[in-house]
Amino acid sequence: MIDTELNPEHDPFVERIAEAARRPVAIDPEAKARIFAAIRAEPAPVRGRGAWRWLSNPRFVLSPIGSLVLAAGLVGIGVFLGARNRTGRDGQPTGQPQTVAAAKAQLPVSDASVKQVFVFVAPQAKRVSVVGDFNQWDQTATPLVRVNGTGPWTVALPLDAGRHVYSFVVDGRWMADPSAPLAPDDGFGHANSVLVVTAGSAL
Amino acid sequence: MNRTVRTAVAIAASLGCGMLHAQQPGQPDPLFKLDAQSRVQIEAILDSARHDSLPGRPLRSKAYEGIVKQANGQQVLREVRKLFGDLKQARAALGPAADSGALEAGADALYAGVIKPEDLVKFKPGPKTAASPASALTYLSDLIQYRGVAREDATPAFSKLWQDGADDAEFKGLWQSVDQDILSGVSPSTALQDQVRKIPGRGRGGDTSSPSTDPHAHG
Repeated sequence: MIDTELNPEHDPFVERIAEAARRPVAIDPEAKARIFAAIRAEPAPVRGRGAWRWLSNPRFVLSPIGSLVLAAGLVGIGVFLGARNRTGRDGQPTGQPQTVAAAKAQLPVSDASVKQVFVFVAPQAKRVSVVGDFNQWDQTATPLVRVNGTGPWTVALPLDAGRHVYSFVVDGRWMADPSAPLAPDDGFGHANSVLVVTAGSAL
Repeated sequence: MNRTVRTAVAIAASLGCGMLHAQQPGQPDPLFKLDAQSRVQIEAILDSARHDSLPGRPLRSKAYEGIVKQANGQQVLREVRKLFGDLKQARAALGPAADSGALEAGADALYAGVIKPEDLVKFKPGPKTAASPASALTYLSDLIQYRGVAREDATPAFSKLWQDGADDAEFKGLWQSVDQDILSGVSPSTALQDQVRKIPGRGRGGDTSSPSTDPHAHG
């Protein structure tokens, strides 16, 4: 049941108020002109500084998880591209097998570099590499290859003039070069070999 | 929140670009495989070496070597610190004209105890000498430490040869000949004296006329 006295459509007092509210508001033309003049007098918004505006005035919403994924993706791209461009201190790519031919092809690295041939005799060995200060002691950077498949293991490397400390890694075991002077114990339980490269010298 | 997220994205992008830029000339620095405390201290030593005009390469190489040989951070730090001290001593003994190789060889000789700082001074580069005593010190250290030549015999002989202007090839030849004689049964100090006498123009060099007692004599 509806109480007609409480129905606003039949309340004359309410109807009077509503009628007054329905009448269009007449704005004084002078006041309108002043308002528009004031708006026109405001300086136009500054264009440019897009990056700052993008950062300070967000236009899209990124969830926290989405932002983390995006950030991780950007860093990942950097790491991936950086890894693709990996090079050793001697200017040679690292992390991939290298042959004597590849080493020779990169000569000369600098005017001061001299090609040095490393030779190691190990008929039973399956894998031999040379590590030293010239390849950041990376065991995968400079593998030796066998001459004619059965001869001594060898690799040619361009080295800068100076003193170099190195060692062979034969099937995972560290071994000094028997044909070179030894450095004192390295403090880590092994003795390395020493090579002094002077301009025009060869091992 | 939005602004925070955007700032985080911008920082991440900058870091990514920075890493990309840093990695292009070389691979990621192996020092980052060490614990943070050891790495920071090693980097401080590298800074000190730079400040003292000492070569950073052997210090960095020592750290890399330790990492590859699976030494822990404290062991690596200890060896790098020790080498830094020896390089400083070598610089003091060999003077500002000594190159990186000479300092490394001098530091190694000091480290192994095969030469005293007062003897290392005798290998200072001079107007009559070769450019760098790196070879002389390397072969000298090897003969004393690994071939059994007495320090009292080897050091004067080598320092005399060095001061007389012997070059790298002569030191290498001497080392090979002495090693060969030792392998054939000659006592180490006798082998050294014999071979020094055979070097043309240098036969009377060094105080090798009265060999010391040689504990490593082969007979």
